[in-house]
Amino acid sequence: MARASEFSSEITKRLRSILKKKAKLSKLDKNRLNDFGKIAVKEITKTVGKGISPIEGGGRFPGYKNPENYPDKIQKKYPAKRRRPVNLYLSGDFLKNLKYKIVKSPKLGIEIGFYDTLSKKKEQGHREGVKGQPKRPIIPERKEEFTRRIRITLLKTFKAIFEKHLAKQK
Amino acid sequence: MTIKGNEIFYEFDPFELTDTEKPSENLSDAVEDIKNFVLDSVLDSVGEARSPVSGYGKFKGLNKDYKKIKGKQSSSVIANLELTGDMLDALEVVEVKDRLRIRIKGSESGKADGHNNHSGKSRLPTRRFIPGSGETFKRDIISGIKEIVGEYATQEPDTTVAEVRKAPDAKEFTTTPLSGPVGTKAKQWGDGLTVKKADEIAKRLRAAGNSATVVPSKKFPGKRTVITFER
Repeated sequence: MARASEFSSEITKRLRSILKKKAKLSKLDKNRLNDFGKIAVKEITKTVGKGISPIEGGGRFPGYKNPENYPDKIQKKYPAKRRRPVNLYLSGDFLKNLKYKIVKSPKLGIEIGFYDTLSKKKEQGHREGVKGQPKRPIIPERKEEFTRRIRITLLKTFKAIFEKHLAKQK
Repeated sequence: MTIKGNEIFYEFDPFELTDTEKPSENLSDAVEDIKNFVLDSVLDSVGEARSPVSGYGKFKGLNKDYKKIKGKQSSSVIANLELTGDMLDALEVVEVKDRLRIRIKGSESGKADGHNNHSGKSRLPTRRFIPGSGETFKRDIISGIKEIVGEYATQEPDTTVAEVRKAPDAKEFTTTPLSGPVGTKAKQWGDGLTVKKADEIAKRLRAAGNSATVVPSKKFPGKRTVITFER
């Protein structure tokens, strides 16, 4: 599965405490959630772009196993590809296809993932480490979570968006 | 100087650094979270050519010649300290006794000192990513650590003054009559409190119209107690 709910248990818990005091999430309009989704995707791709895993405890992505083969040999086709940083960027299509969705069930929220078949396959390849390459997962699964730094950023973003929303309502 | 043999490091006690108390439960989980957070934050800062050390700001840009050299190996020609990647791969946060140490140990420590210049001998522009002596991490890293500790701290009830009064036997809020000025009744609101907790209780008591005072605890050195006098 190449998608995960962004609202991790911790974020959800903390958001609930904000929401309890102010208003209900269901009153948030679609535009605000779109703003949040865009920022969340941006934050994740920015982290991956630096060669850092967005998953808690993931650290830096491991280097290429045989750099003389990959990426050196594909530089004719993709001149911008270099050995570093290990940023999962070749043609740019993969990370461009990281998307968010507004979901209504089981709760209103944002889901982040790859939704097209090719990108799902690519994500799986990175996650499992195909052709002997190290594993470089970027979407949290099961008990995994985004790094705390990303979670803090998202929480701050959500707070800011939510406060804007409340101010507009007054 | 924070160089020992082939190790360049910064050692810190995360609880002392953030003026927080060690969680009494799940300490090892908290420490693991702090280690991950510090490493991730330092790598993230360096990745955008910014120092994670307080007071250093953005790294000095690369010169033209080096940019050309770097461009052959890396798709990023900013000062992100990543050419082969070996030095940043060697960056780690480890536990040393009761403290944490962010370090580069072994063959990459020379490069690390070249950038950090803890030795004072480097001719490169200083791009410090491991704090030197008397230095620490920038504010958002410190506040992140604080937040982690806060999450692991023993959950104290979000008590209002009214609730405190209703629960005089609650551990943190024992009400012990004290001797006070004539005509007053003194109450002690907890003992052995941290400064932060004592201030918090005093604030709530004041908000409820009491003249609460935070005083050093006689029973627990270094800790505080809160006292109110009522007529």
